[in-house]
Amino acid sequence: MNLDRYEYYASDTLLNFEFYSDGPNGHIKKIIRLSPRNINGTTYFNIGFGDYQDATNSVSDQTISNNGDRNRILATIAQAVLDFMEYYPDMMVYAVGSTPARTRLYQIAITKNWEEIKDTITVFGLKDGVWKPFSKNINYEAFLGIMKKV
Amino acid sequence: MKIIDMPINFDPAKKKDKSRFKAIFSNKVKDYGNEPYFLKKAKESEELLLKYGFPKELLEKK
Repeated sequence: MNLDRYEYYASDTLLNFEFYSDGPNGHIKKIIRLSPRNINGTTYFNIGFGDYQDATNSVSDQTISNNGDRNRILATIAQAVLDFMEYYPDMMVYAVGSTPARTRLYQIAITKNWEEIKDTITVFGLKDGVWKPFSKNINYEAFLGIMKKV
Repeated sequence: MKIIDMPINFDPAKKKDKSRFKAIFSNKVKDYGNEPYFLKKAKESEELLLKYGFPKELLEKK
């Protein structure tokens, strides 16, 4: 992943990440959280991403920062997830946006990095209720990925 | 149907090789495990995965 990205910080568990978006609308704290869940014995991690709201000390995805750095943010999220997967190679990671447009951003992030991703991570996309191997030209509703075994 | 929050066993020894990661480790990064926004997102993911299941191919890789 050689795309331009922000410097980002991780907690010891590599489940929490923070970085700052800088642009015309200010210095905005961004949070990435990988939340562990288990369904019938299968563990996976949900990728959550949002802005830290100083006024309420909470995280939200309801703001649109418009800082003109979308690709840099996507590259930062992608690299944080790769760090996570490096540490937890047996764990599935699940990603979906809060709106179809935001899910599309995950699609863009995967597509942009597909040449590097495809050899190391198995990615599936949900399309019309069916999980299928990721293909660059299909718009999916959600994504699941896991590190390939070497 | 059993759904639980998973405790994470973290091996600090593994973290010592920091060159493996692009992240900068910081004890200033909070644990957002109880953040309502992220809990809601995780809950929504469960609903979808309960409905559609996991890809069989991925389960075989675990």
